[in-house]
Amino acid sequence: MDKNHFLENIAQRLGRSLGQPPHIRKEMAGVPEFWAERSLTPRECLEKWIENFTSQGGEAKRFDSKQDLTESLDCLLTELSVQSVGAWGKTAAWPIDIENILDKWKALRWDETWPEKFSHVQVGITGCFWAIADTGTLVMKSGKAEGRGTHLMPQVHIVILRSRQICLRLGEVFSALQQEAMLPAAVHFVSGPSRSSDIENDLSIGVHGPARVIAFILQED
Amino acid sequence: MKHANSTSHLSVKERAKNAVQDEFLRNAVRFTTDRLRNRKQAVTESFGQWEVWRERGEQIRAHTIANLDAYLAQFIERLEAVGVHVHFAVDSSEATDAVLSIIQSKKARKVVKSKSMVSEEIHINQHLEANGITVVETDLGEYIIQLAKETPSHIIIPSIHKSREQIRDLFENAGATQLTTETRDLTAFARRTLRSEFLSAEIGITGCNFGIAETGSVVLFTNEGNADMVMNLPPTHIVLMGMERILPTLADLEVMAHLLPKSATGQNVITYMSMLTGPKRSADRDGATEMHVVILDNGRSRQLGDEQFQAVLHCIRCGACLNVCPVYRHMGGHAYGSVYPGPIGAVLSPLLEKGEQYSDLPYASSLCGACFEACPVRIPLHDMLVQHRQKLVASGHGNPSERMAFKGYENIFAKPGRYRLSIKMARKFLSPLAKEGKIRSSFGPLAGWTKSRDFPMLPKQSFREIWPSLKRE
Repeated sequence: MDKNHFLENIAQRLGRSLGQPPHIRKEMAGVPEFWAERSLTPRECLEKWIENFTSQGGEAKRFDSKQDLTESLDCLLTELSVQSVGAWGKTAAWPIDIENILDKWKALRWDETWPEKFSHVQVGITGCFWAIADTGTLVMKSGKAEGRGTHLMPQVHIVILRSRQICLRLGEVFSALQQEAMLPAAVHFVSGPSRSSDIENDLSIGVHGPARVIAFILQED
Repeated sequence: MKHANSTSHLSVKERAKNAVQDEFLRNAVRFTTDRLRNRKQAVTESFGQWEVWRERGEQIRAHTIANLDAYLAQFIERLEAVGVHVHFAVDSSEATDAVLSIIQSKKARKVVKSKSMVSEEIHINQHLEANGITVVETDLGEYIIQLAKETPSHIIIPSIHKSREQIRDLFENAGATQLTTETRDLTAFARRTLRSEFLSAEIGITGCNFGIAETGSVVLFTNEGNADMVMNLPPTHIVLMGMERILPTLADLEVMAHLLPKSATGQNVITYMSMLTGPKRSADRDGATEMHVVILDNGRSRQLGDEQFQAVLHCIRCGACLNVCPVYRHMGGHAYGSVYPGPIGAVLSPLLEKGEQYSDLPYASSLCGACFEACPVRIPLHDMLVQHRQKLVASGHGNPSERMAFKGYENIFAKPGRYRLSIKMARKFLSPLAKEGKIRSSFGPLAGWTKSRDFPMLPKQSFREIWPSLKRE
């Protein structure tokens, strides 16, 4: 069927004419006012984010200095006895520079290889653009060096962020996205490891996406 | 919308009878619905002001549907602006044809799919398979029931009725060896098998939880991350969406992002919410290069402008009404015989499919109203069920003996003499059936009642008969 017939039928049944703008909404777009009016200090946001993220099966580690963070990241990769590491490209929007670790572990870089290769990567390391305290969520945008497969395909996802990237609610991320010239092709809101309850209601982790999501947070005041 | 299981010729009563005899099914359904319902209760309590959120949800959905032509037109314009191909399907055969022709133009042989109720509604899998195309369901629960050649029994947890032993056997038939019944083992097999399917498929098909009019974005919710794989890995991505899945703005999505997962599974947040705005950009190295959106009517537009039923299009497909429904909890999803089970299915199925196939579904309800209480966008499902019944009776489709009974009632109650006489007759006629003041016999016109309950015998004297002596006292 063609577009105009399809839409005209809808308009006609609603007693409207096609091309007529929607009725004006009074105070009913978006979240209730009490929700939008809350505010938390950055420290409270960080605490809330960690509480929610870990309750959803995510793991969070916080550090006061960049050096502690990179050392701990190196230790974790050693502990995991990782064979293959993949990461966002060098030009990606890294919140913190961890190139020395990525070099040491000979990380496959997203924009220097084929996406299929990331299916065999054990650990994917990325930054994120925002995090959301209300729901313990990480926000990743697609881009040339920030491939979607970096955080989705490996068994373990390690994400690097600064505490000031954490906002309180989802709406703040939407506002920030809408200020950009154009929305990216994909925005992913990830709130913990991949989960399913399809086998007798028993929680299974990592059925498609990562089984572990580990956040390395640089705490700034 | 015919259900693929071979029981569609039975009435809902007969299918329910079969279902309640399956003890595993009954226990599984009760366990799952209890769990989902209790978790929802807990998460909405700790979230707070749930009634305010529900009201906002209702306002947003009501406004969107009342102006659907405008918002849908805006959504389509934005989709086309970012390079998406948009198709319009008035019914399921136009939708399946549109999908098939896209697949054939790519000479594709394999499709991976994430869970979508619309795809169940149009039976896309059978249609594609009949044309030699392999379709792989990738949601773990859907994958299990696809291997079992069955249909979903719950909107959110489709494989609710399968035991882990059955799942192990299905996986072994699909090539697994020496599998235990441990969840971890079963999951690992599914991950391995499905990962290679993602990488080799040429087409990905997803549903659409919400389409955002102001941005032209398609938003998908999953807990497994399988929809992300489906839309990112194959070169062509086809989105199937019901035409009512629209939200005006991203601000409205913020409300739904709270209402949907909290109502569906009692989770505070969905694990993966992904927002796609067009196919991959030229610099991106993954994501589909071509994106199609198929917008489906299939009986939905008939509800627009209908005062009684327009609100059924407000539904966000969370399944909360299933989990609280005493009828669903007793007989499970398959007994409804329709793609959409539970209270929403009992209302929606007879609307989408004209004719008599689902006309008995509105009777699969006790009209207790729990569905309305549970609905995150406050759809008055219990009222709609009554309205369905009224329409059915008005159109002459009621039970003939029920019609006769009411005709008789009208006659007898019109004149006191007739009433007196009939009570006397009834007492005489019923007394041989009664034992210890109760009627238990389960034949004759009272059988529907006496099969599971006792019917009290009429007292020796009626109130009218003893009234003259009471009056004297």
